[in-house]
Amino acid sequence: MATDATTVAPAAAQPAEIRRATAGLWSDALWRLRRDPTTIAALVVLVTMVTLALGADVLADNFFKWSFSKQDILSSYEKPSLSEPAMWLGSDQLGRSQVVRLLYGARVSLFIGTFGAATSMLIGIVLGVTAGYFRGWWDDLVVWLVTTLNSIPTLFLLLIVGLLFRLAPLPLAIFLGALGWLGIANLARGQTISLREREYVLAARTIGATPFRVMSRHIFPNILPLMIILAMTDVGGLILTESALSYLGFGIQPPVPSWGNMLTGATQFLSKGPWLVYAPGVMIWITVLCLYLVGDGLRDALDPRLRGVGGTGGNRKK
Amino acid sequence: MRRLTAVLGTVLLVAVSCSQAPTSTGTSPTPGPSASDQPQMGGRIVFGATGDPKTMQPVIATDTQSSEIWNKLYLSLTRANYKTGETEPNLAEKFALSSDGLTLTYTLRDNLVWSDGTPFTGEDWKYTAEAVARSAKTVRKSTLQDIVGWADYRDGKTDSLAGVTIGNNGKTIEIKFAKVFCPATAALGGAGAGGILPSVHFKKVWDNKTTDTKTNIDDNPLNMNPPASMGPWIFKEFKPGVQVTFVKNDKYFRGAPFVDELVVKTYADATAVKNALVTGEVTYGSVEAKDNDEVSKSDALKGVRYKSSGYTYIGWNAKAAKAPWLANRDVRQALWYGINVNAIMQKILFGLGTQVYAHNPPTSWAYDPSGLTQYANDVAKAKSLLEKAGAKMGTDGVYRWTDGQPMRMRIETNQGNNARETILQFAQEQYKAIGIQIDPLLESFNALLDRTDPGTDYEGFILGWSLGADPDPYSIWHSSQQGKGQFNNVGYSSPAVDQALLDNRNGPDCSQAGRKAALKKVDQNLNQDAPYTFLYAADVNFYANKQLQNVDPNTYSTTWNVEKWWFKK
Amino acid sequence: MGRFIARRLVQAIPTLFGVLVLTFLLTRLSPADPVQLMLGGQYDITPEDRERLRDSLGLNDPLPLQFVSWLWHVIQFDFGNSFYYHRPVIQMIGERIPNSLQISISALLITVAVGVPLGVLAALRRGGIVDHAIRIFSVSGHAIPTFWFGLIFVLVLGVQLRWFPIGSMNVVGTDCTFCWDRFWHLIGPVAVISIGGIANLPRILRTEVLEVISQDYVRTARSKGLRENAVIWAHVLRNALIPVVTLFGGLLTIFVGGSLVIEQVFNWPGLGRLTFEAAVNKDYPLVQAGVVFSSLLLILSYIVRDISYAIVDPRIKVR
Repeated sequence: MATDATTVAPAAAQPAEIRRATAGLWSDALWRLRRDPTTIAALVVLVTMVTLALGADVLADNFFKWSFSKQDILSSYEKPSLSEPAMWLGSDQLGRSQVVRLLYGARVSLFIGTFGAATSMLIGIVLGVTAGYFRGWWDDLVVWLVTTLNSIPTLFLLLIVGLLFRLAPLPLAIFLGALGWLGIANLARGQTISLREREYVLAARTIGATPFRVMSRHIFPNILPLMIILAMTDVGGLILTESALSYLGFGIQPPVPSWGNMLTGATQFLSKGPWLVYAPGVMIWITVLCLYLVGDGLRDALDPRLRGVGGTGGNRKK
Repeated sequence: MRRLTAVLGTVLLVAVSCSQAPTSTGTSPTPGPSASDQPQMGGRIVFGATGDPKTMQPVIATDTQSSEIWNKLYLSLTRANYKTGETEPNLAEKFALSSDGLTLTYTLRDNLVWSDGTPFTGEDWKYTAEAVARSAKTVRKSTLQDIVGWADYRDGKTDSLAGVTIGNNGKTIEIKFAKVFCPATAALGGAGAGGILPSVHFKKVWDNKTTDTKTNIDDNPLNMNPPASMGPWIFKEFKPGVQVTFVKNDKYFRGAPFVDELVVKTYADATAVKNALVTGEVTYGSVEAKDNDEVSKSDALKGVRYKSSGYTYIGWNAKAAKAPWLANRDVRQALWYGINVNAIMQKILFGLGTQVYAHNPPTSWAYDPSGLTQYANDVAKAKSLLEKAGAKMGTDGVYRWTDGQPMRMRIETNQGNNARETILQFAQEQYKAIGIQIDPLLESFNALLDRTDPGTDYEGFILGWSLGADPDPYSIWHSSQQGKGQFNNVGYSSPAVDQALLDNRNGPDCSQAGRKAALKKVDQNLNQDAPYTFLYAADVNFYANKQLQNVDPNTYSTTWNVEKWWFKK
Repeated sequence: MGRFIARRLVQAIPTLFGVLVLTFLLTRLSPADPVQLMLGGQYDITPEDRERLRDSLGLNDPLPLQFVSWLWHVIQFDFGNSFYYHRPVIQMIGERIPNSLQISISALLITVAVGVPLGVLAALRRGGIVDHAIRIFSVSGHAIPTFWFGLIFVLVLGVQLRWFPIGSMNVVGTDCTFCWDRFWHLIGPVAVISIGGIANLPRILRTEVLEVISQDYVRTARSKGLRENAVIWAHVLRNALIPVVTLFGGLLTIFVGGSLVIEQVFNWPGLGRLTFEAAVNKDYPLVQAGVVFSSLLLILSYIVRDISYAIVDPRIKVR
């Protein structure tokens, strides 16, 4: 990966490095990224998956000729076969096409992951930056909120929510996002605190720039790359949480397929249809794996010195 | 010499480690056949339950997990023959209904004692009946309501049930009815609760000789700590979340069990119980239809299949506020025509059951499917019935009712029951094809029972009935049984059926022929009025560890001879 | 150190308060009538009696007052009775906590015992096959959905192959805690729940070890002629452990939070499964207490982590 390239062959890379010193953060990152096959492979997988998921309706109607809810109970538990596209991964207990449901499941999971991460980013950046900038009682309040939410295991908290409502994908995504902003806020706050003492920020403040201007013009762009990396890994964590919740029966309700709720009765299928148990789990695994790899790759590309940051501990809530 | 020591040492080591290997039956399998058919003492039977019991006392118990516990301890005066369902002696050796049908007399066996040595007398029966009368949590009052003096005692006007007389030093119980009660001999053996309590112990927590209706037996420590037992087992301890342990009762009147211990172990769900059965952790139990294939392949288990007394159905609430069309008979018939029950039988039940078209199940002597409409799946007919009732097809494929509202409603059932969950999803698609939109809802069994308590806030639901041997559907179908906590929760009201139910229950013709005629009338009406879409009576797929001898389960009881079970090593 | 611990404990109080407020508010948001849920199977209660019950439970008081009254009870460890089981909630929680702790503590020990050597190994054999293998294992293990892994474990290794028990804490009839049987039954849940931690730990550790190994003082120690092993294990580990301890925060969240699903899959009678079943039964007092106690466990673990942090890193002295 990128780290090896820069430490093992310093001599050859040096002139190129020096030339690039003024080329800016992003093109720098792109250059490093191009030498990172693992991350590129993961990116390709993800892009393919997103494309397929987005095209789920089109594919279901034209290629598979089977909708995700269409049942055919007389052909339940069919083994995977090449006879028709809809049966490539077999059928479930109601005769629904497994491969079509996996596709729609991808759509639901990716949607919740992305939308949730976006919500997290929004809440996290706003709260983190303002807390770090203004300090004082607002900072104390935000820190208290973060520590409190951090002390309640996510799934337990979601249980209470599941008690009250059965959420549709969009509200569920927002809710999950509303619980996942802690890591982002912490990082944003930390970065803001150190940035606000830098010369250019102090300069802006002395000439009377409004706090909003300072935050949006000087602080926000500098922390953005970091936030994006964090958000990528958050998407993975959110997908894991949503699957666990749907598996327990408190998340996405059938017949809307989510990889998690496809596994809900799965224990009962192992003898009748093992492919029903392995496929959704493997899909979750691969998707999250690629997301983590891309997140790590991006982080290494943007700044190898950031290696200890972001990808650790507290954000990966299962 | 050293070599000998080494060999001996190894043999010893092997012997020691073999005897310490954890086994589920509690006895280490020793090599070599014993080749004797003499019952061997010892061993442990493990039964799998899908939850902890809420109580260990029959008066207030409403769930299966609780029943599995108290029915090991508290027995009834009579019991249903395990195969035929006929009432036979249990704690009572004789029982007789007078010719006018108004007096029932039980005569107890001699020398009956509880597990702690206290004699079992008629007082225990009377105490239990009075506990039912005064309980605020019981659902069983209707069984006893025809006894003379019932209302007076229940309302606190008297301090004892006038119609019950205990005579002959506690050996006879004489019960007088205000009107003829045909199922009396079958239904009253358990004093309404199903099991008789040890009055000597329970009197310390609740005195039945009182007119104070505010006190009752619902909340006291003995409810979770049974003090004595008349059954084959004595309660030993309860570890929440883990298991309930029983030891054998040497004073059991049919003889002490050969097996030492019975454990009812708690599992997360039915699949976990099935896994435990397959791996040998659980000794006996029944499995769902879809698992039958897998479990039957196990060579450590032997299987028995028999019919169950009960059936599964989709109930339609005629009083649903959000679905006024359910009050219309044509609509309900359409709902029956609209669902392919045959496919359910083949693909969800895998052929392990019988389709039903009315209330009395195939195991009952009142069963008579002749002349009943079979509602074979017919989408066109369903649609035409809907249109006949006044529905008009909308542009989105969903019918509009006469008030202009789209015909959209909810069907709910309990999670954890795979067959019902699958039927729910199947029904959703089937009804889409006849233009009715269904919103499925899965919830816990208790939440489901709570939500479908007679009222207006629910529409369709999938549930099942487990019925006793004596057919008395009064509490389910009579129009007076629609109050809170009662069982007629589909708003069914038919004067013809009401009368037939009373004829079956209160005679005056209590002969089987007479009752059968009345019940046939009930079935015919139910079949035409379709308050339920009757689905099927499932078979029971019972499996037990091969080493367990004398197991002979059938429709009305699996453990009727549990004291004779033994492990052949 | 004593003062540090005391101060840290005091710092935890506002957090605990926050948890209590949040839990209380969320459950009070419920549209269901607590009296209805509580009375469950009682059908003979008149509407007047229900009102009287509401009054006596303080349900007609303003919300802040209800909170204060609830808080007052909670401080005395009184969480009320379960709506479903009608037993004191605190008793039910107390029965289950030790069971959950067994899994969490074992998982922590295993994660460190397996993850640390793997991380050091990956650093030492940097660039080689071992390193790559460990890194692939790391990222995949971190991405695997725990509940699915647990399911596969039970179904394949338990039911089909019979290599491991399919759940529960002991074989029926055995009741020991510190014995081979219990250990045997712990393998499944602990293996599944630690996989994420075991996967992540080497990644962090590898980076840190690599950094520390190139530091001057290590080269000095080497040149002084100390045996290779002594150099590594004594100096490098001590410094590399700091981020490991930081990692504990995330691990603990996974262990306590993941306990919910794992206990369900492995039929383990712990706090997670109790709370889940309570949620299914709409048993509010039990769910409330479950959330509060799991949070309490987490807060206490964070405190222990901070104390370990202070012990391991001599630079972080009592601030």
